[in-house]
Amino acid sequence: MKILIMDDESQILKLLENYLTMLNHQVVTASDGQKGLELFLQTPDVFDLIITDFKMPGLDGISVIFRLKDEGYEIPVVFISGHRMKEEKVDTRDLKVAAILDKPFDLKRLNQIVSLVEKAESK
Amino acid sequence: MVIKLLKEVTILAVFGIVLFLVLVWIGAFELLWEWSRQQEGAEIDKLFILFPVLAFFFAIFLWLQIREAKSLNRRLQISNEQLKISQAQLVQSAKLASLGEMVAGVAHEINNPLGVINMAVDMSLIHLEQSKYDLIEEHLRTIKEQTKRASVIVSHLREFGRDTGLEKQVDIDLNKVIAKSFILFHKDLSNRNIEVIQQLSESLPLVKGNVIELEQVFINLFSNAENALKSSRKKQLIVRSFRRKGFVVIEVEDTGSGIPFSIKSKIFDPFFTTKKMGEGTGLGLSISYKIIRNHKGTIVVESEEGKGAKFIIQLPVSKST
Repeated sequence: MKILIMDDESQILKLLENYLTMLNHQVVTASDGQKGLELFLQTPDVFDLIITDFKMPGLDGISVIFRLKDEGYEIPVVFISGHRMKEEKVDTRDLKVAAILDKPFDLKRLNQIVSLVEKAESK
Repeated sequence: MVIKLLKEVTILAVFGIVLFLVLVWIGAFELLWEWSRQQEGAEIDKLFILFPVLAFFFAIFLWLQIREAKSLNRRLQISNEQLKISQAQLVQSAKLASLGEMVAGVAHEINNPLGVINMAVDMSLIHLEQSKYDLIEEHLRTIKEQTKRASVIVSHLREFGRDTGLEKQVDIDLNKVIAKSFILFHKDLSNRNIEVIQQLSESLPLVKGNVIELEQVFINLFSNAENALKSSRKKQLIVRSFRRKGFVVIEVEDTGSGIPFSIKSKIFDPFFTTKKMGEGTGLGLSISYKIIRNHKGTIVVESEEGKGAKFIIQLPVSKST
């Protein structure tokens, strides 16, 4: 699978990239929403999944996903949440949300979700 | 209790004796009166009898007044003590309320390092199975670094939450207090795309004060600015520090919604808030005002609706600098 990861925490970005690459996924990383959006729009059809932080400086994760939806791209997404506060109680029913993971989460759990998305997308 | 009873009995006994003496006086006067009537030329003014009687009632009146005054004084002292305790509790609860308002940002600040640590542990276990020890070392370094990051936040929270009622006043560098105040929610500010501009004087004199209390003032001001900037296009928080004559001046300015003229005079009043029910206590600015006043300083606001707000704090330069 080709996965786009967006997070402003460089360490999280690095660890997720290492882990998912180890599991034979192709990973592209972006340190903020704007970069992530630009990267996605360059080659929109190659991505199978987006993993993104909810809150980020600049364009945040949820805004990127809504922007993509507006542009006609409905892609499975895994949200990572630092703390589910009011801002994060956004109505995500219209989006293809595979999971919302609260930090700290286990990498095995992420792997399970990624595998489920892979299975669902290959059907 | 026994001593109080003994005191009352003694006072009553004294009055009994005085009453007895008055009665003796009246008796003696009756005798004198009778004698003067029998003797030609000897006359005693009848009003003379009233003197000890009036004196007696005046003494009782005086005693009752003193008793009342003493009891009032005692009640006043108790009320004063209670007021002091309530004020300290109010300061503490306002501080906890500030903490409550910051909790989302703080949770984010702590969950981030925890998230990294958890992932680094997971990766270490995987690399352990694969015998890639050099990568494990890298993960361990990451864990160490992230633990330090989380512990700075926790220790700061602990310090801030502490009751500072008896804290001594010390010489303080306000630039450092400003920097510490940002620890707890700089991430929250950056997530809300608020640009923080710090124009701090490098040769700022020290002021005498209580670090935690002054930090509370800045946290309140930053938190208010953050709220005011929520729906603003230009999102800037500018903090300045400089010396003006015998004072250190701190300005906290935002480009937010500003303060309407109609409420400008009320913003330092306790329990005055423009926030929704349950979102603000209305104590932040009133406590800040009290803290600055206790530090022999002043806090004023310059603001126009729609044009942001500037809070100006002046604190006297410490005499020991």
